[in-house]
Amino acid sequence: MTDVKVTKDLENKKLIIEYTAGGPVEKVWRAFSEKDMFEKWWGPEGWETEAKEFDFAPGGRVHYGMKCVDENQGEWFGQVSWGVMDLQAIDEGKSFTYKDYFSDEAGALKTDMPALTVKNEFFDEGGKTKIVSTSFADTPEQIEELIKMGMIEGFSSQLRKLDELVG
Amino acid sequence: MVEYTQQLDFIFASLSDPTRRDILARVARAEFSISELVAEYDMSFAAVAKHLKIMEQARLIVKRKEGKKQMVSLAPDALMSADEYLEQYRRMWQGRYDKLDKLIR
Repeated sequence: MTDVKVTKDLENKKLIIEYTAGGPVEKVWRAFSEKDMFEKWWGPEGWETEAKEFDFAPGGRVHYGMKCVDENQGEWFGQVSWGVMDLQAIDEGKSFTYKDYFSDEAGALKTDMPALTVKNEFFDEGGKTKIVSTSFADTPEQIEELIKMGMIEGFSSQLRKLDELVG
Repeated sequence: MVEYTQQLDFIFASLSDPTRRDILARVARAEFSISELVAEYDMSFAAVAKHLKIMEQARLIVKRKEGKKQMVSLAPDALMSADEYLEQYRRMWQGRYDKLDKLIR
């Protein structure tokens, strides 16, 4: 396990997430491209993922729900967050590009929230795999917005801390 | 410093109320119009507006006008600084990728 590195490049309106997984590219690729594997890891800690639709092909889409099953996450417990990946280009075993949307349970896209294009690239590093995920935004604000949405875990614990202080 | 502690008082007072915490959890994820928020609670428009005013004073939320609607969202630096948000975001991905790592070994 290595540390995830996140780089905010506001000037170029990009957000880059890097991680080196301790297994071969072929297996990492399957973790993204096969439904059963994808469901096992895609949700953040304490969140379970179920894909309603999983068509990992150019022009195909993945529609998934993430449910918070961790009681310690306060307000989030029991909530389901829906998303859609619209797959655009796939270079088998090397990279794939998709448009990342929030959606509802029926799969209707939420257009009031920023939809970013994400490119995932996989590099062999002597049996390990470097994953580089780049999100491309239209404005620097969208990058900040994206980061704010990622606070799923932190937010409720932050509130709990304040709760304790308030008594 | 005085201003800082006063600000903290506002934040704590604001978060001591369950409705306001609920509003905060909602606007943290998406922007809402005031009417949309009113629809979520068994409360009058005026009562919700009062809650929002307290939260605005604590600088937890910001309002902006969109035509006739007033839109409410989480203030950019509410509760956490930009760096803390980034760290939170990083940790979320760490949790995900650590799961992936276990899966592919």
